[in-house]
Amino acid sequence: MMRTALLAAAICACATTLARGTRHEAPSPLAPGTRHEAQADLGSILDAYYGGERDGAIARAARLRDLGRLRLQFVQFTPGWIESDPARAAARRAAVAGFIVELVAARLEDDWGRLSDLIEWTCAQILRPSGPPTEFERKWHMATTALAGRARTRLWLLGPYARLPHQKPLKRVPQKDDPPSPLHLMHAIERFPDDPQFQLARVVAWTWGRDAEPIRNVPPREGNDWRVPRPPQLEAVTALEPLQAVPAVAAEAWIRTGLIHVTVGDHVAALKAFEAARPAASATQLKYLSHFLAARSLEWLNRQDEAVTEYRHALDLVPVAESATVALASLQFLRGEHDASVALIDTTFGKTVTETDPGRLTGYGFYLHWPEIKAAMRAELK
Amino acid sequence: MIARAILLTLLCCPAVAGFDQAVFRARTDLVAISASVKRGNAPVANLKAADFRVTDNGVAQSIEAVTIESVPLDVTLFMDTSGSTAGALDRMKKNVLSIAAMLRPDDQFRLLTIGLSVEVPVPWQAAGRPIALDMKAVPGISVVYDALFVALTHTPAPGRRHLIVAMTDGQDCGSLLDGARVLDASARSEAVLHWIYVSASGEFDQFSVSAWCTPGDARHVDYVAQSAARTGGDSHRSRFGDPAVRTFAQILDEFRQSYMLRYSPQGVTTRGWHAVTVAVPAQPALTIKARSGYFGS
Repeated sequence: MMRTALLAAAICACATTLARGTRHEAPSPLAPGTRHEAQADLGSILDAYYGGERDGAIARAARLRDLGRLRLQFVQFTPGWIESDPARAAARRAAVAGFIVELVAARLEDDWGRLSDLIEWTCAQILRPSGPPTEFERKWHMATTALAGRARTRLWLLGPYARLPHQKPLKRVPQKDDPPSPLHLMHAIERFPDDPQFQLARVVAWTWGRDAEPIRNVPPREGNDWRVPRPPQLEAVTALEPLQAVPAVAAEAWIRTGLIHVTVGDHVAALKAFEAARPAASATQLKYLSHFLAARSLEWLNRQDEAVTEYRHALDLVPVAESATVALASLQFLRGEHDASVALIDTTFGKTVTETDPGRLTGYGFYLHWPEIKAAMRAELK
Repeated sequence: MIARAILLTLLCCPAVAGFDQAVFRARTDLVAISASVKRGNAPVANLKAADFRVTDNGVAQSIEAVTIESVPLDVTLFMDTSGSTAGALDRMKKNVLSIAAMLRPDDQFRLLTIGLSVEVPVPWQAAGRPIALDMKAVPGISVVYDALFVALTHTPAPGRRHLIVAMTDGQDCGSLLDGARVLDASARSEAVLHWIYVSASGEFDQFSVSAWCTPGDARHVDYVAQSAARTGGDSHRSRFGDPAVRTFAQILDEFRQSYMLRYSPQGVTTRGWHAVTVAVPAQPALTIKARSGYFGS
């Protein structure tokens, strides 16, 4: 309770600071938002969201320039807004929680650091005290975990002394200079201890800031040179192994396992893991990744013809995926297949793309699944 | 159809110095090398084909020369909209409009930026057409190498040349391709790449999503500068805003005053890497920048 009060006080204090300006450059006439909109009433926006006009409400809120005022209004106003209709309090509570998550998503790239504490405030003040966990809360936690994935905030999700499930917890007395963390994902796991999605998210988040950019241009290790800026995280494989047998997360557990093998240059093991993911994968993103990442490993193994085949399989699944396009075209360019390479680039980059590219999102945890997660959360808003 | 294509090509290249067959890339075995020739900082004009000496794998070649002044351009502008430069987004937008306005009606223009992936906010369009700009900054990742590769793969239509100007701090983070692959692509591309080093450091927004970078990926190899040099381009330093526009203007001006040297390779094998040297023997003090070679196929 004390912690919650402190969080609310901190939000109020931050709101004052943020009200003085949220961006470094002077407002551009090209930028959205007007003074009138900045003073819009949060209540009317929440009413619209609660009434089903979700996209419109989020668009209005996302245009607000004065985040300090918004933050203040949110913590001061929403408890009363929920209680204004006691018979529908549960639904209104869910609407508040859904609204803040969608607003954070809309301003995620620029304002994660300005809004993430409102997520935690909602968790601690609105959802967790409301009683036993609900299906909405499960979906909401999936959504917040996904957004934290885009921000790669291991600390925010797991705290400063994160341990894997099979590791003994550190018996370390918290220090006064420890970085603050709401342990957001650990609270989700407390509420939903048997949900394998959160177990998987915990392992994936544990690797952030420790891995070596699994899919990207990591230089190959030279012999036994372990003097790399960030040590490899093979320990996470131990935590992923039990999840490979759980159908709901098996495909992704295999893919995450393969990515860890990539970080240590074991492309044979990585390839096996990516191929193992294939029969278990049902989501298009995971099917795509099983082919795309296999192709990357095959390239490392200098099996270029097979890599080309795998890239093509990936593009069959997501035809305008920019990741497989760039990777395949560069391989073709290297092999002297100039015309094919140029044609592939021109085809993909000549189209307006609205789909997300799974190959570009592997480093962001559950954000890979954001559209589906958001839809599932909305479906629970009643 | 072929006759029409050749006729169009002839019409595109009226100003020819030193030869009378201005058929440009009409034959697949024709090699085209862009060469900038300067005395100090001043471009040298009015050189003839006979003034140049071009070798292909050490074998002197018989060349044709044309000034690029007369050739319509495909100009790719790459703006690094990642976290490290995103603080200057408004200035970048103004830069794009100013730069596009410098081009001639028969030039083409496109804009590449980077977010979570390589983006094309302005696809190829004729210069002079209004530009609908939808640029946004995406912090946390900076796929500079991938964007440069996409730029380098463009093959201009016969009778046109491709100039790439990249405004970036060169700090790659998150590309699929490594620097060596981009360097290789630069050797295989017909484009001329100029890198304008720009940085908006100090303006990074600490509240945005955090960066996902691994220190030392490039192992201190300056791949962007090397790629530019390999295409016959150069590296420059500037700042977003008016200085960057002035630097672009200088690049464009010098590019238009450079030369296109063309030849059908003689006395060399077709396949593999062809190292090319360009010189003006009578004036050894001149500075010549040209593509360092090409891959035969």
